[in-house]
Amino acid sequence: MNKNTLFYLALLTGLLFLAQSLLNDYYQRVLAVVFINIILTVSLNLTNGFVGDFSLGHAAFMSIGAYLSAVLTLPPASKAGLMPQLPAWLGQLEVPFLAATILGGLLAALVAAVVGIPVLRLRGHYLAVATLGLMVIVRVVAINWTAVTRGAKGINGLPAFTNLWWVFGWAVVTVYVVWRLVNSSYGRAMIAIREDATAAAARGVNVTAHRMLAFCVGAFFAGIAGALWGHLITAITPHSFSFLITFNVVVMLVVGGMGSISGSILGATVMTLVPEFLRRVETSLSLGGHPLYGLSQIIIAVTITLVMIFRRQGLLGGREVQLPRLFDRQRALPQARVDTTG
Amino acid sequence: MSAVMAEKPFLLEAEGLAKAFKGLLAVHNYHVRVSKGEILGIIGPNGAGKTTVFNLITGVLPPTRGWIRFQGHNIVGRAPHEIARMGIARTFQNIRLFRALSVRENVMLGLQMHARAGLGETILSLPRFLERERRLADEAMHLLELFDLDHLWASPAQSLSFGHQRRLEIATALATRPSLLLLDEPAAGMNPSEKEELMGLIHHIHKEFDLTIIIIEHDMRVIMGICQRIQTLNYGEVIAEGTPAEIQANPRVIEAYLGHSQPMGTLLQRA
Repeated sequence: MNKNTLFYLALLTGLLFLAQSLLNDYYQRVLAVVFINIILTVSLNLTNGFVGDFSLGHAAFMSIGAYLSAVLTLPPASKAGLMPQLPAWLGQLEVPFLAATILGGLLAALVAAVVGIPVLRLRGHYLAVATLGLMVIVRVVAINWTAVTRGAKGINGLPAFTNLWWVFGWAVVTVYVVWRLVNSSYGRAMIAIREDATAAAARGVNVTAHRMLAFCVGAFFAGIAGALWGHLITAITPHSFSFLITFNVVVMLVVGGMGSISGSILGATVMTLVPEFLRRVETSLSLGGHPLYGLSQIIIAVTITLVMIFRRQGLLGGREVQLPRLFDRQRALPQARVDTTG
Repeated sequence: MSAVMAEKPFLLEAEGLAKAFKGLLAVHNYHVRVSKGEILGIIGPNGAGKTTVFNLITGVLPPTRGWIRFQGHNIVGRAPHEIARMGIARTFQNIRLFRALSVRENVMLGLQMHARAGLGETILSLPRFLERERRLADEAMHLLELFDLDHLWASPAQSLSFGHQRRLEIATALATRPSLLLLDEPAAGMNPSEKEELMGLIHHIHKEFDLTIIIIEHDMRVIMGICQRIQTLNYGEVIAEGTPAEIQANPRVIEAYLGHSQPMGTLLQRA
């Protein structure tokens, strides 16, 4: 990590301190959701943007991370009340938030591996179908495994551990890991697979292994995001993680531009903030006495349509935006990549 | 001399190789034996099964029947990337580069199987990872210099001219450090002077990299100029095999190409 990166990290940290002391609860929560969406979008980009697979599994992986971390962080006293049928050892357990989050991510990655082993050996968009199926399975399990998940009632009263620092920290870790992966032999192999899997194999790239790696790393961070989300909202139900969440993340990815990390960050930020503020606009505006409910959704749908028509490659078009270098340092390995996903 | 040759094991051997696509026999009872250091040409009319043979050897397609041995090991059923790692590299009839990657990254991709950092080292960006990346970049530049492409190293592969793309594809194949190189119509779309250049290049890398080469080509001047032995395929079968002189005089070859007997000299003039 060089001086420039450290400088920008310090700058962001400072801004976050300001945000924490100046913004009210509502804005702080919106900001936390922005960071969670950055985690989701950047991690989905690894599969959908760099390897060129199309995963729709993010909601399922979030759900897994959220439920596991919830069961782990709930204090034994509340567990005794909420889930009396829980196995005794699990009922007694109380795991620190960080460990619970990581375990949630690991379980999501493990499930991704189980789904990926049969599917990722096949060419084509089987992954989209399989991950959609996974979402249904996860929801059915969450509804019916009442001893652990409390079924359709969901789990409420989660400790509100998630704050700006947790989501910011995990967003930084996600961006760092994905950025390191993409700018290494792994990333070259992943992009080569996206461009031409047969030719990549002919150059010695293990196509299945790289697709698997991207899918599992993506699922890990989706699980983390789920755990963070659960401990932010403090209540989860089987319906918290619906197809709508997957759809939103895909939209953020597409609007920002697939195959670009900075595009994902931009897409996640814009597509979280714009709908949130439009929601406030629609309650304050009125037409002939009727408040304009649903206006925000229409505006977003129109925006996406316009992006698809006029800028199919997304706002950044697969390019990376570089922040200005304030401290001169010899450039390690200049990158010259263009996007061909659009 | 011939006694010594006979004792030497073949680098590549295939026997009884067949490939059927839903009843259509693309390759039928194909056989080949290639000694180390040889340059073998494969010719034949369009649809004769030449590229299918390459796809069978490189594991892109599983054969319906038959076996293939490379350096004494059976390679039927192995994944394409395993076969590439064993030392078989190929180029494609329609150039297949990684368009979004830079020229140098295309070469580094071929090289990286030999010097790859682990996942942990990569994510933590440990010195060993950085050193390996630098070494890969250096080696890639050396290879690019040899192909006179080093000045273009930072350009995306898709921005290169056709001739440069052909050269780059051969460079990326060599980056895997193969002992056997399969070239699929490398002269396609080239003008006469580019073809001359290509022949020089193939001769050069053959010696420099200690290669064995199998080349599919329609251009008779190129084939006759660089191959020591030529196989002719028609309807997925080997119909003739021999030295360039023998092939040129073989009536079955001439018939396969032109539909009726005509001296090979006409073919050479057309090319």
